[in-house]
This record gives sequence, C-alpha cells and structure tokens, in this order.
Amino acid sequence: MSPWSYKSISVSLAISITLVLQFSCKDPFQYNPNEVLLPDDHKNLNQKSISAIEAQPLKDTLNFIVIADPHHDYENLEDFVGKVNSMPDISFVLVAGDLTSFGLQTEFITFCDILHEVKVPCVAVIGNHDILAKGEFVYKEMFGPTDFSFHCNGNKFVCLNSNSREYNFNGLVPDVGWLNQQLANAYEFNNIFVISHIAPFDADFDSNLEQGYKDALGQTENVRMSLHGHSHDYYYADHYYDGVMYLITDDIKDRSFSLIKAWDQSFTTEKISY
Amino acid sequence: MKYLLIGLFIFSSTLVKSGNSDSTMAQHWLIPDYMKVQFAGNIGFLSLGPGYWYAGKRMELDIMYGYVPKSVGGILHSLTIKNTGMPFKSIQLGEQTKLDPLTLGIPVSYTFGKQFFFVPPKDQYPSRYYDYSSALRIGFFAGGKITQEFGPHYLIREAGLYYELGTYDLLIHNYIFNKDNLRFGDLFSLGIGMQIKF
Repeated sequence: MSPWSYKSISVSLAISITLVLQFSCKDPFQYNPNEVLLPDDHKNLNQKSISAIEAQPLKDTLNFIVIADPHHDYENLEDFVGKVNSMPDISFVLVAGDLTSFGLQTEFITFCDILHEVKVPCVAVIGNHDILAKGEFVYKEMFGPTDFSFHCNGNKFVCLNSNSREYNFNGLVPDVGWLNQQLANAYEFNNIFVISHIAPFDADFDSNLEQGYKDALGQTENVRMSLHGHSHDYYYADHYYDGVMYLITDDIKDRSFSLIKAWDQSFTTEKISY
Repeated sequence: MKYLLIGLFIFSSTLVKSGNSDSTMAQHWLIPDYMKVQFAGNIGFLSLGPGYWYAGKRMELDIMYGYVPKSVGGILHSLTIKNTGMPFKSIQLGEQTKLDPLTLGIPVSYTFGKQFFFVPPKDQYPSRYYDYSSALRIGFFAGGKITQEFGPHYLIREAGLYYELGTYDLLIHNYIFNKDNLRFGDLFSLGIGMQIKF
C-alpha cells in the first residue's frame, strides 16, 4: 500500500472515532426503537417521589400542581419547569398522562430528564400515548405500577390507568374494583383526589365502567375531585351533580396548569398560565 | 439412501457451479451476492441476512432479520429491508483494498409483536386517532465501508467492514418540533457490520 493509502485510512478512522466520541454522553448503540433497557437512576421514579412527598412536614395548606399532555412539547415543558421552580411552597407536581407521543423509551427519558429539574417531587400517571408500542412496559419500569396511591398532609391521592380504548374496552380498565378498595379508608382522610388520564365521560373511557367510576367517587365521603387530561382543553364542573368536581387540565401547549390548594376539608383550584 | 444420493448430487453440483461461476455461468439472480451481519443500528442487537448488488455495484439491497435478546432490551424480532447507495467512486487503497468513504441508506424496518400495529386497528380506534404505524419504522443513515478482496480461490472472496450513523422517522419528527431543545447528535446512533461474499 502506498503512504497515501495509509493517510486515507487514518483520516476515515479519525472521522469515525470523532463521530463515536460525539456520543460519549450516551450509549452510541441502539438496537431497536422499541428496546426497553433503562439505567437504574431512571427506575421506579413514582415510588421515589412518593417517599419524598410522604416525608414532607405537615402544613396548614397543601399546594400541588397538575399538568397534562406534555407529549413532545419540550419547549413549553421546560418553561413550565422554570415557572414551578419560581413558585413558593409547592409540595409536588402531578402529571396527568401522555408523557410521550409514541411510547418510546427515548421519549420517556427526555420527559423524565426535563422534569428532573423540578425542585419538588413529580408523580406521573399513564396516558393512552404512553401505552403505544412497548410504552406500558417502559412506564412500569420507569415509574412503577399504573394504579397506585399515596397520601400527603391528611389527603389521599388515588392514581389509576383509565385508558380503556388502548385495551379495546375489555372491561378491566380502569380497575373500578381496585378503586373501591382504595376508597374504603376514605374516612381517614380530609380530602380524596382521584387522578387518571381520561375522564369518565370521554368517548375513550369504557362506557360500561362509567357508572361504576362515578358511583365510587360520588358515594364516598371526602372525595373532592377527579383530575384528568387527554381532551387538550380546560374543563371544570360538578359533572354528575354529585358533589365531585371534575377538572380537566389543558395540555402543556396551552402554557397553563392547575394549582390546587387543600386545607382541612376544603380546596380551591386555579388555572395558571405562564 | 436415495436422499443421501440426492443430497450428494446437489452438493457436488454446487461445487461445480461455484467453480465455474466467475468464468462461464452467470449467477441466478435470486442467489444472493453476499451476506451481512450487523451489530446495533436500530435494526436489532444482531441482524443477519442476504443482499444484492445492483446499479453496477453502486447500490445494495439487504433483507435482514434482527433480534434483540431480553438482556439488552428485548425480546424483539424485526425484519428490515435496507437500501444502501454509494454516491462516490470507491477509493482504491491497495490492489485488493478499497474504501467507500460515504454510504447513504434507507432501512425500512418492521418489528413483530401484538403490541405493535402496522395501521391502528379499525375496530379499536376511530379513523386518524393515531396517524402512524407503531410497527413500521423508516430510517436514514450515513456511513462508510472498507472492503478487502481475497480472490476466487478463497472461501471468503470478499469481506467488507462498515459503519452506519442512523436515525428514524419518529426521532426526526420530535426533533423538528424541538430544534432548540433536543441535540441533533442525539438523533443518531451507531451500527457496525460485516459484508461477506462467498
């Protein structure tokens, strides 16, 4: 081989190595868009947040924030992070589903890395887009079970998967039996908040389970609110005239979120734009 | 015994064929020109399959089966049809060594499994509820290849080593909406592979 050949090989090798080093901050090799292999610090995040929330000292008034449907709108999500961090006395952030657009692990990681900058704990509920492809599997690895509950400052939060259409309305989602179990000890709390992505009166919610869901909430004392996203619009009403307020938070694109304050057996909600 | 004889006949005929293929007999168009084995590159942890040269060996068409084992993020099975072109003339590095400084390609990959849909099932979703295919990915890559020829008397007549820096439709989609918030480099991942002509 001529010296020129060696030169040419070293140049092309140098280019390749530069390109590889470009990736030094992340794994340069991807096996399939649908692969699910999370680093340990991206696992079981809801439980980690809940431990932090439940360890918070008691307050007169609990302030928490609900956002919905961030999808791939990272710019507005980052601005939201800045806004929350500038607000005093917020206990935690609830994300009412659709953290991704295609249920890809890479989208979950981007979402999680942006929300990681929020100074208070964040809890995420699963949305219909988060179930696409291997999304439900990624969600479970990253956040934990899709149905879970926690308490804070004498309030109970019941979070569940209500994305019935993704299971072709098989009658099992949302799990109304589990919901009733969670509400069995409602009397021990001042206020109960139930959070899921899809509201019971939406066409994507299993209509055979709507009555069960509505009764579970309406017939339990201290259930104040049912919190949702999905419709990309704001809605706030006593939808079934049973004393339970149904709040749908608009998507991140609208640059707004809900601020809920709960004290004793009372609460207020406010739509905040940024 | 009959099958053994038939087997021996087929085996000997392939020997005759391979002995003659360069000089007198034109290879049947269905017989692959080469095999590729690839590591990573969005089409499997390992992928493997036959391929064909066309357009005067400036284009390649590969059909590759890809597998991702559980231990590295699977289990996933996929089938990829990969079209690769070499827009520039090969650089002759030695008598039997050549470099293709740029390869460009479009892999179309289908991942199997009941959680993936080719189109959203009509009995489950209203029309245009999801406007994409979760099973089918269309990618794009740029890379390079170095090829060593060994000659007709060797079992491996020609072997190439290649790399590809690739991305795919959904990542590009999300990047278009987030040019200021996502890093362009993060769209791409690396695949390396070997092309073997027997």
